[in-house]
Amino acid sequence: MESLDLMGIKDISPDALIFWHWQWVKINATIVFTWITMLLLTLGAWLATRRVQSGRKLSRWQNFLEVLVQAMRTQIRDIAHGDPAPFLPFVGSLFLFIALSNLLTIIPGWVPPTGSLSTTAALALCVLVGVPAYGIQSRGVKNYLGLYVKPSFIMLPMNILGELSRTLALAVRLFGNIMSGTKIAAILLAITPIIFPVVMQALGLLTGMIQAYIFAVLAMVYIASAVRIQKQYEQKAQEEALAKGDDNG
Amino acid sequence: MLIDWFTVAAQVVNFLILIWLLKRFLYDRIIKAIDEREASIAGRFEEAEAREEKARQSVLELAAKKEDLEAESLKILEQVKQEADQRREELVARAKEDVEGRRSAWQESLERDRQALAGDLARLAAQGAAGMARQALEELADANLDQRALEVFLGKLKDLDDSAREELQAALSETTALVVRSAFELDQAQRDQLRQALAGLAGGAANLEFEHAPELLLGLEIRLPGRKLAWSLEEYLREMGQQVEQRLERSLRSIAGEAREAPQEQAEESRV
Repeated sequence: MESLDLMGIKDISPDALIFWHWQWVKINATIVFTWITMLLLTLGAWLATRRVQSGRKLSRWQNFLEVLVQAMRTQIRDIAHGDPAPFLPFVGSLFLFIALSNLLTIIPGWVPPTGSLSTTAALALCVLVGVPAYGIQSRGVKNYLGLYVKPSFIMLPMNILGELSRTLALAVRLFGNIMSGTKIAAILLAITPIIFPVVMQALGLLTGMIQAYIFAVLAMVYIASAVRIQKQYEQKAQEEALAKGDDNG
Repeated sequence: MLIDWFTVAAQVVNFLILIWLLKRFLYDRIIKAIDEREASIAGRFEEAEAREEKARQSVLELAAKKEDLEAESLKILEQVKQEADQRREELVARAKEDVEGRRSAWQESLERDRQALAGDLARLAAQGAAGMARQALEELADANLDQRALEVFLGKLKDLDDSAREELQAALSETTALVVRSAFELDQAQRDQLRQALAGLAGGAANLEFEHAPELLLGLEIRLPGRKLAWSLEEYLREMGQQVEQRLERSLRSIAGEAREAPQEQAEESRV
């Protein structure tokens, strides 16, 4: 496997593969492959939406992206029980970045940036910062911070610990899955070079997709719980039920 | 150490840049396209609904218009029918009038013809009878017959009713002479006989004037104002003529009655 050429089997993290460095600034494989992923995503989006059509006829790529975006919006709406517009760029980008970097592992020599704990930690940190940011934006500083002392002040350390531990879990879960996937593929390739690694690669693709989904959905769940749209949703649902009753009546 | 903090920081920055890029090139554009499409679809649906509503309205309008037209045509038909009936009745009435007029004209002409015929017949009969009688009397006429006629006249004078007698007396008392017309020339003796008889009636001398009137055929007459005392054959002949005329008229009337029924039947047939 090409990746073996780029990254030794003993190298757990692609961070260790440094292409260029100047003092403490270093360009390693993680950053380079992240850039490639970003480039592919941006280029694809730009190409597909370059001549965006709102009429009846639309290009296949645009159609595909519309389906993707609509699916993400539906998922976000289901979790947030509200308008998905404010969360789509953050949660959608998490999903697209992780999904593409995992998907590309079928290309020999590809080093998935999600296989680096630094990347997953960075993404988890973004979630860690994003959750209170959305919470404060939605509820105000006082109300949001009040959540940490509920139901009582004793729960404050627990809440903070919970916040940190779930961030850690996010980072480690993704990293562990992807890293192990690539490692297993590499090891199996060494042991049984025919057929079996293909199955494992397919499994790895599935795992990668599931991990992307899990990461994005969990991030959204955390944000939703911070925003607490639940109550508003319940009110809305009641209103809708009333309206429906009126319609039927 | 699995975590390289510089890489973490770089990845955070990379991710934020990615969010910005994707928001710019993907989400905004795609969502805008979707929203626009949805709006256009909704607009098209609204348009279709409006069009449908319009179509429904126009269908209703057309149905109403059709009903109006049908009612109108029925009305016009009814009106035309009424006019036709009226016209027919008028024509029938005019035809009836025409027929009636013609029939009455025909009847009038028939009546005229009948009267003319009756007159002619009466005249002919009277003339014939008179001529016959005249012929016979001319042959029979002699002094004895004339004398006999005078005696009969004198007898009649005697048998006059009271009113006639009074009138005669009044006439005789006048200064003007009373005219006695006779079919034959009276001789002196006969004139005296008459004078005596009238004088007996008047109770004085009778002023008489004698006149020969052969058209009386036989007999005599005295004309009083408003009355005529006579016994003459002409009188009989005239009576006979009147009777003939009456009989004739009766028989003609019965003929005209039959003739009148016939045109009525014809008129009834034409009405059917």
